[in-house]
Amino acid sequence: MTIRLVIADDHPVVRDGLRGMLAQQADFEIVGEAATGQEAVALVERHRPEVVLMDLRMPAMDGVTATGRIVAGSAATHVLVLTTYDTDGDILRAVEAGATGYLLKDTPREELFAAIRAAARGETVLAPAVAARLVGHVRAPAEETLTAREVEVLALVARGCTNAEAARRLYISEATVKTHLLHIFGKLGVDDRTAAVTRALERGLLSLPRRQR
Amino acid sequence: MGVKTGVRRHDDAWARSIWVWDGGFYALLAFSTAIALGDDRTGRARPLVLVLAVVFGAWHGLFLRRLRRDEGELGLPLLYLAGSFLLWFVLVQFSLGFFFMLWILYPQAFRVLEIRVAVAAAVVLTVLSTVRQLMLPGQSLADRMLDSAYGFIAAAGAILLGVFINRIIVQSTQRKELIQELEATRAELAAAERQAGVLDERERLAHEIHDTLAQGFTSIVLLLQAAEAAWAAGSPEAAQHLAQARRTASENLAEARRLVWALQPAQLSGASLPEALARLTERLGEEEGLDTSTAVTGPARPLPTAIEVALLRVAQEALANVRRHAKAGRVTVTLSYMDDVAVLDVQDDGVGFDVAASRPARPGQDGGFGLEAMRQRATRLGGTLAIESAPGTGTTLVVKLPVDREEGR
Repeated sequence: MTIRLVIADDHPVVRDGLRGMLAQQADFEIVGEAATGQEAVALVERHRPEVVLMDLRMPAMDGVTATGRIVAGSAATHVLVLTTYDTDGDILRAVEAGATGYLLKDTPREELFAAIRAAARGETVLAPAVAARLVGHVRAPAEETLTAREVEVLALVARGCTNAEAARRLYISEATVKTHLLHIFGKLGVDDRTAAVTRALERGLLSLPRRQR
Repeated sequence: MGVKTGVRRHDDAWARSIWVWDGGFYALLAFSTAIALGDDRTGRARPLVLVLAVVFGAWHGLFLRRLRRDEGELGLPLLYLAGSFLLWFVLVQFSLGFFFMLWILYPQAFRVLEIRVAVAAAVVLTVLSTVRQLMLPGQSLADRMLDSAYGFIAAAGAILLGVFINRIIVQSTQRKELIQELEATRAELAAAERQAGVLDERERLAHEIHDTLAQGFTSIVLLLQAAEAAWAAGSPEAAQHLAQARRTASENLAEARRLVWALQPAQLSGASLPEALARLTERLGEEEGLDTSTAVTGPARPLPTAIEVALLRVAQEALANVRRHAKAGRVTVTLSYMDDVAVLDVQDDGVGFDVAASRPARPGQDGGFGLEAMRQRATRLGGTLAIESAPGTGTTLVVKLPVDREEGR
């Protein structure tokens, strides 16, 4: 099956490069090129392609807006965001607007081809996290105090709630309650629920419930 | 200097209190007229005095506004003063009570004229009042000279005071201009400093670009030239040069990303994952009439884009399933930031289902990216995706993705 594509990018050099690369693949057919978001929307209306490769920064309607219009107007068309910067906050906005996934523009050929085929099937495409090193610096320091949610979980445990009961009360999964408990154990240096409650009471992180339910 | 900086400059305190002089004029006119009418010596001239007094008041009223507004003009103030002096001189022939009007006529001269002309006008007024005094019958020569001397000395005092006040006003105006100049200079200085900061930053950027990107591009051009030459000569080195050029271009791109990342301002508000999740959930609630809520726990922070996008996609898929299958009345989306993982829970109070029985069949009903695909995606990111449900108890979907520690190495 042939995958019909629209390329939307305001840089001719990038469009040329992409077209040159994609033309080598027998199952890809480029049905249109757009330099603005408006052109992209018009091309999609006319050709109903399977996949749109969408740049985010374009004049006359940006990629996020164009993505929203395209997804609203053509359910069979999947938008794959192609971006230079992994740290771009607009990526999340584009996904919110309905983009199937995103890739970096310098993704190796084979990965790009595979991603376009996956996007055509409607699968989510994520770029490898190249920028994680940068963003990772923002990492929060390991805290010795319990977070508000951890105190909530532990208070429920102290009242005798099972994981399932705590989960129901907090509107979360049992798995997440367990995850919270593991973090609490780690922070308090204990191995089980009872010890965690005792230690938290000792440290004043938790106050005794007035009424046992 | 100073000619145009007369007291008619309607600035500041002076301009704001100017109505006092008009009030004073009418008060004294009324007072003098009352004295004249009450004086038997006025006699049959009373109606004439009253008419003249009314004309005087109208004359002043006619100029009232123009004298305030027209600045730097000489003709109109002179016309006003000439008329006023004439009216006063006629009135004072009928009753000496109008001598009280001198209290306001001197200030009027200083009010409407620039200082030198005003002094001349004051002298004229003094001459007029002295003439009137000399016309009084039955006085000795010594008395008349004394009266005249008295009038001129009083006028001289008034003129000195007027000049003195004028000088103070001129000085205060100069100070005001000086302060304005000072403030303008200070603003210019701040702008210059900002400009210097911008220039510094540009220079730093230019150096950075020169040291990294420009060197890289030079190297790429040289490598491509070498590749062309080798290719023309049929040498196998061509491929080597090309590979090296591509590597250098990749490094350059990474460098450009680093530069841009360091330069770009903090993320726009509204672009964060919690905000996107809240909007998504809220929209479902509005469209389906569901009771929805979103909770964020733990220290919220930007996560690698791949992680944030994956979490948002899972939330979209989970909420789409709630919409299609759950028959729920309430949905809660919880994003939990922990130090090594990020967890997303989507909980509904709908019909639920038997997880063990239907798990393989349930995902993918929307003809594509179902939960099974998301589960694979989560696994590839080093995380897990699970569903907790049973018939009648609602459904909770949970995806847990590692952040920081496993990422970006």
